[in-house]
Amino acid sequence: MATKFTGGCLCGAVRYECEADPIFMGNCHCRDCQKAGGGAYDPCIGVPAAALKITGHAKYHDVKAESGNTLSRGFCPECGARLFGKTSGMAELAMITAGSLDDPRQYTPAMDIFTSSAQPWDHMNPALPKFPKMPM
Amino acid sequence: MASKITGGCLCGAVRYESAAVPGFAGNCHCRDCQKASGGAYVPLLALPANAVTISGEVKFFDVQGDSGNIMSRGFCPTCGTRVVGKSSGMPALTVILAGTLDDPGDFKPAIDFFTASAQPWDHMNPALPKFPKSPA
Repeated sequence: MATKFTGGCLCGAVRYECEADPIFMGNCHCRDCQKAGGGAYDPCIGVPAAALKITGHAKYHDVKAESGNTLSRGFCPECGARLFGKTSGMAELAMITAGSLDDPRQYTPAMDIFTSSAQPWDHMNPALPKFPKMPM
Repeated sequence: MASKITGGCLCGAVRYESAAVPGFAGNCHCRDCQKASGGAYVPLLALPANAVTISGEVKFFDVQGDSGNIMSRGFCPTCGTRVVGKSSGMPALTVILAGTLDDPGDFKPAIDFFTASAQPWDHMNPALPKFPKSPA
């Protein structure tokens, strides 16, 4: 079912909206996401890239992921807020961080992934399926 | 805790180190920290500001918090990783984010605070004391 997501960064320079069926919602506990967010995991929503409308300018930092694909993490260059993700392995997929939503209650994670990298203080919801790496 | 606390951003441009013992370790669930990190909460470690050495360029973005103090959130302008923070109400302290530690397993949060702003999908450790606003 199509959901309207709106959100943006802390300073307001970057805003986004997207009206689409989310492709997935899940928490990524990989070490790169921990570092990029400074925290335990990245609560990630996957949406069709064509449906994501961004206003303002996000800066991207690229890292080669375990898969060999390039993962691009987008943030606001003014306030540093973590916003977007893209992977070279799937150009049709765009990702947004749940914390950047105007209404973060729209986020309903279905899984935890890369749990093999999770920190001991990362308290996960035991009801969610756990995947040590990618969920394949 | 390891004898020296070291860490840095995802791209390696910003590094920090401290030989001090952290004065405070806890998880902040305020809405500004959610937006800045894109996540549910930020795991924070507070150290004496004069005992933290930071190398590399850090960009700061200031927001007035609920307390009336100015929260300065520092991030790497190249990769967006949020590394350090300061509060005008506690100039003697520098806060670092546990996800950016070289050894994040050493982080032992004592409390959850600003839990009044926490999202329904933010699964907290029930054993930690909860503070709806600031613990101070």
